Amino acid sequence: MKTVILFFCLLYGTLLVHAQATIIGKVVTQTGEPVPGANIFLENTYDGASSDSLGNFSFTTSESGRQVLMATFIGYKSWKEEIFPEGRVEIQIVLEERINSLDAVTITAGNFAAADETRASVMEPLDILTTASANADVMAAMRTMPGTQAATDDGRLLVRGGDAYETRTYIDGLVAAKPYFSKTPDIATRGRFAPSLFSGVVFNSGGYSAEYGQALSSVLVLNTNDLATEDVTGVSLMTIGGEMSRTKRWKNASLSLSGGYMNLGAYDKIFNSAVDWQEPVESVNGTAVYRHKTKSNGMVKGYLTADWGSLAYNVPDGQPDGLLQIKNNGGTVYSNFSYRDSFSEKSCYKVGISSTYEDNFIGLGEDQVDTRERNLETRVTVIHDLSEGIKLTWGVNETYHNYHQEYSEFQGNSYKTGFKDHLAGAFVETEVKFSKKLAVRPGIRSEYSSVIHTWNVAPRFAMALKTGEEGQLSGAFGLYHQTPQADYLKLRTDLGFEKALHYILSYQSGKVSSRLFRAEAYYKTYNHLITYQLNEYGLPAKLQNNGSGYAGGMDLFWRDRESMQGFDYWITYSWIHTKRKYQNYPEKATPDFISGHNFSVVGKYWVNQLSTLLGFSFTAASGRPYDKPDTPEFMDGKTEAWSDLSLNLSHIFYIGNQYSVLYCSVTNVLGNNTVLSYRPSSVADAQGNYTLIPVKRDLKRMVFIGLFLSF
Amino acid sequence: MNNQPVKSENMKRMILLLVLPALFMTKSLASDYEKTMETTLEKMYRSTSPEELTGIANQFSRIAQAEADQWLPSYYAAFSYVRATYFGEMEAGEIHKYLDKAQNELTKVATTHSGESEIHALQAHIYQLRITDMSSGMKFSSLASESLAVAEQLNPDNPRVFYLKGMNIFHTPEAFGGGAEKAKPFLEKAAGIFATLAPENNLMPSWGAEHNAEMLSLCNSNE
Repeated sequence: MKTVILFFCLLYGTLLVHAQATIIGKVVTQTGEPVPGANIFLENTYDGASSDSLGNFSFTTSESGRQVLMATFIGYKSWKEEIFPEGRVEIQIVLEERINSLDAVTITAGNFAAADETRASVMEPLDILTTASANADVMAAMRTMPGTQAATDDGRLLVRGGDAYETRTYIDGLVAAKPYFSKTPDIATRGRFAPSLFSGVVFNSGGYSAEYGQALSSVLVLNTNDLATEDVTGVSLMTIGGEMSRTKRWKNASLSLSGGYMNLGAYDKIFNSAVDWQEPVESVNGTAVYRHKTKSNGMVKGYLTADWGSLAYNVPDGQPDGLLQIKNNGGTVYSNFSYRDSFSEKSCYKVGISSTYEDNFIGLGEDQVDTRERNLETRVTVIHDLSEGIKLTWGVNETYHNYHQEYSEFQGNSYKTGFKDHLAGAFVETEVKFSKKLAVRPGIRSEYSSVIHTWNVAPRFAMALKTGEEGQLSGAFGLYHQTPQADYLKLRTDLGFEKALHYILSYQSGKVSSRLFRAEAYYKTYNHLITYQLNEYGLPAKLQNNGSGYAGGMDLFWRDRESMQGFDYWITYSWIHTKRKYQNYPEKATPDFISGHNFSVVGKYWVNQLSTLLGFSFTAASGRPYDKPDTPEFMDGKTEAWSDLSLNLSHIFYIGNQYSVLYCSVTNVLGNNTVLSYRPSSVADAQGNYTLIPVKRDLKRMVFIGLFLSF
Repeated sequence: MNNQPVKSENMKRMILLLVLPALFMTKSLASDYEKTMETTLEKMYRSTSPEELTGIANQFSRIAQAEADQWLPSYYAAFSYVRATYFGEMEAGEIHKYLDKAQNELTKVATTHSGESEIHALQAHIYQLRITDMSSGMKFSSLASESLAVAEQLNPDNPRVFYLKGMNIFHTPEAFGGGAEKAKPFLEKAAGIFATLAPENNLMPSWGAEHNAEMLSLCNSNE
């Protein structure tokens, strides 16, 4: 018996005073750098230690037998090895970098944003609201980004040599078919969507991913806000009109309703507009935004906006003292519903539907054009995290386009044109990170357009290589297709896709949140562009996919938010050389919306004592080509260089817990009134010649004052 | 044969003797958790060195992996990294690195213990500390107030909810609706709860009272 007791006593004794084993070693990376602060421990016990500044560690343990030694450190894969603690155990731990860590390479070629939780985007909603020249227009703010044309007489985004139709706008991944108010000759248009709706903006100036299609040049992806944070009522009083809004937040849902009225009549009277207004721009709009967060953390988003507007003005018609009245009125309804959720931790999906309906009426003198368009897009996208560093994205979309136009001559015939198109698209794309330094993203997209009975297949490829802590090199290549524009399809449908091929190489260094430098070189070729000849009635005839062209250039960008306290500025310079034969060009030429050099600086300074943000923006662009009808050469004229200095201030004050803003801006402070472009008159004179009509800014200087109250 | 009952009696006693320490040992593992937590917590509240706090965070993280159903070890691992940012005189980039580590620890228990008010309060605090420049202010202060709203809903008597709300307002420029005057009611409410409601036990979070009092006295001296 005694021996039994003795045995147990001894057993306990050994358990209790079991020889303490010492585990000692060093933690290093694969390249041999020490890792300080790593956690080294025996699994399922408290025993362990942290590595010191040289990566060394040591600890003692009373555990024995088979144990699992683990080492963990953020950004690295956890390390495991079986050991038998006894006496002194020495061990060298080599940690392998986790490819999906926060500081891993991201593909940035062509892309102008990196919006995630901790990283800042290049352009945020607040930047749009405070850019002096933008007057709260998303598109105008985007025109201070590299790769765009200043072209203020147009108002749309013209990217890297591309025409306005070559850029498409997406909201939450779904197409916004009419991102601008309707464009009439000589009058600049603006973006339809309020910047305050969006939490992030991704502007891609080329080489974009296989997820999107139907844009020869670029895509602008706007991501809307999630749930509104609190209840708030807003009242805006502006020199151009007024707006009211009400937001209500429930636990898992929020709803915002807003409506506004605009009238630019006062401007015409006070500022002596260059445009001969008959009826000033007048519009009403209403918007509803609904958000619902489901129990499974999914997000339902609904957005509905409708507007109606009218305007009329006279332009010279080419005859001595002759005037042509241009009238425009129309309504647009846009809606966008989307839902995102996850199947599992490793895969998630987005489904959505967007719809645009526009009824637009244009009067040209006594002739009338009524256009009704419906655009409906359904889209499903699925993302899988296949394994460490490998992501697979695929999706399908169907876009229905119904176009109907009626042209009525004064007391004469009316002509009806129209078409329907079902565009089906599918894509698959993988992103593979070979290491934290190297990532590639091959993808392929295919589309079928029913109106032109044509398939296309478009390969895309992008890659990025980190060259240092903050520097990285990116490249992209891709083939892009676009169905011919409605203006042509309404006349004939035996056409093919227009095509563009992009090559992009870019270098970037620094951080978006502090200082960022970016240089990007690109070359694009265009093929199968639509060409035509004007017939005796001035209408396109002999439509063919016969055009081609190229664009090459260099974009530079510098943003600095850090060097001077309270001062934030960015500088953009874009150089481009491009020629194309399209539309009714007799030969390859540089289009009339292209300035070879575009330069802009945008700056903001916060004056704490005054609670005021002061802003300026300066834009300069070299002259643009135009065609002189009386010379045999095509596009041989050139306008003068152009510049604009705009200033703004935003004074912030509080009503209760909500901040309100008094905003004031002056566009073109210096009053430069150079001719921006020349437009050939629509009617020939007695000798059969078309005269040139100079296009200037509508208002030489524009002063805008707004009071935006929230409570 | 007579011996048998005696022997069995002895046997019982012996078994009892042998089993008792064994019982004691299992018991000691459970209280080991409390003891280790207590001593590590003590060290954490004393430490003002980021390097040391990293070590302490690692210690909490080790306890967390051994005690899979407890949320406090991961919570304190996250808080140790947060605390490191108070003392480091760090540049923005460095602060974000510590906050990334804190987030990494907190995320481990954020969904499994989503009913804990303190987890949401600490999450809000991490968001607040991410405001290292003007451009990130709007985004993170709205994320912080969302988390604080959840924390308040789960426990309206959590003093850190009002302390953090007050701190946010205290550090916001008057022009943006902040300042001492507006922060005061929140800090006072926090001070009231700190003074009257003691934590449930030694291991429950207790931080914030001193800094709250400090800010409150600044509010009062400004008047």
